[in-house]
Amino acid sequence: MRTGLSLLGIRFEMDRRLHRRWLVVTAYVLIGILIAGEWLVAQRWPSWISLYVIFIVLFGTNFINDYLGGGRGSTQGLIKPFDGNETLRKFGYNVPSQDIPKYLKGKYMNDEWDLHRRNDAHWRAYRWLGLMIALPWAVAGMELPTADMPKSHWFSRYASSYEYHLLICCLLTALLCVYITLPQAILLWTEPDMEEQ
Amino acid sequence: MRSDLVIFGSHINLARRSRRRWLVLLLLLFTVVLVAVSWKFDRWRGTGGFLCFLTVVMNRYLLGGLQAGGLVKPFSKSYRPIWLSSDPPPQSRIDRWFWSRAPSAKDIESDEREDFERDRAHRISYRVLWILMGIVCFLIYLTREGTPFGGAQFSIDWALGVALVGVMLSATLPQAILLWTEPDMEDENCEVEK
Repeated sequence: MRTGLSLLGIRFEMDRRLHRRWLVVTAYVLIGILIAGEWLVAQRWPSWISLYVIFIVLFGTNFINDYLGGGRGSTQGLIKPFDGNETLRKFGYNVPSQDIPKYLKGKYMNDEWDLHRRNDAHWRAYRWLGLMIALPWAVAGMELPTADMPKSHWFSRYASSYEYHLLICCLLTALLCVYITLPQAILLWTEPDMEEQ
Repeated sequence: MRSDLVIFGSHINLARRSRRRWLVLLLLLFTVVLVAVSWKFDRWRGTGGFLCFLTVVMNRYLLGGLQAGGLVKPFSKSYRPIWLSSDPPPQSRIDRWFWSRAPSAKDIESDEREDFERDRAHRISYRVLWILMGIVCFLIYLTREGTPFGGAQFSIDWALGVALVGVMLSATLPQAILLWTEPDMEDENCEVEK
């Protein structure tokens, strides 16, 4: 993990865990703003244009993740790409090896500790999100009884309303956003204070 | 990881990786058949819950991971079944069909290498689940909103089916990956039979 983050030419020191935790909170606030924006935009244009809005939210989350957290292929964030060693092997370098240029090593190479922490973060994330897949299952299951219910039933009326549709869309988008970011957030949150490089 | 499996009292040696891979393939085939039957029966409406319960049973007696009892040791370090406190641990009649002896604390403790492999398996599973989750969400969206360019209306059955597969995989995929990738190990049967 890197100790410094450069955003728009300004360098932020992230060697202290407290700073990294603030970064995680900021990232999730930004993602929350994106989802709130999805809600507002989809209310204004109640047609399939909301599909594009969902894509924009997911793209935005990916962007926030790449520039703040890293991990998923980007070399901009604090965390080196999870598949950095595989990338180096694709470049033709033997990992671990002394022949790798320093700038590539700093960008991509994960040492044993990094790999251990990466896998551990995924294990912790999986414990939560493995269960979360039951949520879309429940949502899909909720569609079934409403089809057989009388139209006058309160839930049938609510399920056919646009508010319910928006709620489902925003809930599932939020779930996907958490899926994109959670292992990186766990890494940033739990990594102890480190010496400045 | 245990190297032997007891099914209805008969021992099956699974020290070799090829055998473990056969077990994974058989379980996969069994699950696919059940999912297909469930589709035919009631389109995953009522029987979906039964399939989820089946994964719990599968983990308890065959795969392990989430519970003590299967081939893979419990993933969680904090998992301490109440029967560990009694010596020798009690063994129910059903357990005797699947365990040659009652599991002890040693049977469920994992070392550093096993923890690393556990985390690696979860990392691969995480990617698979992420893809499945994306597909389910997209299918739910298409069902509710309709396809953007006026195509045929999607039935919710598709989303329900993929979500059901996701729920089942979330509970069994890391164990299956571990069984698939762990190398051949020394036979522990002699020790077990003692």
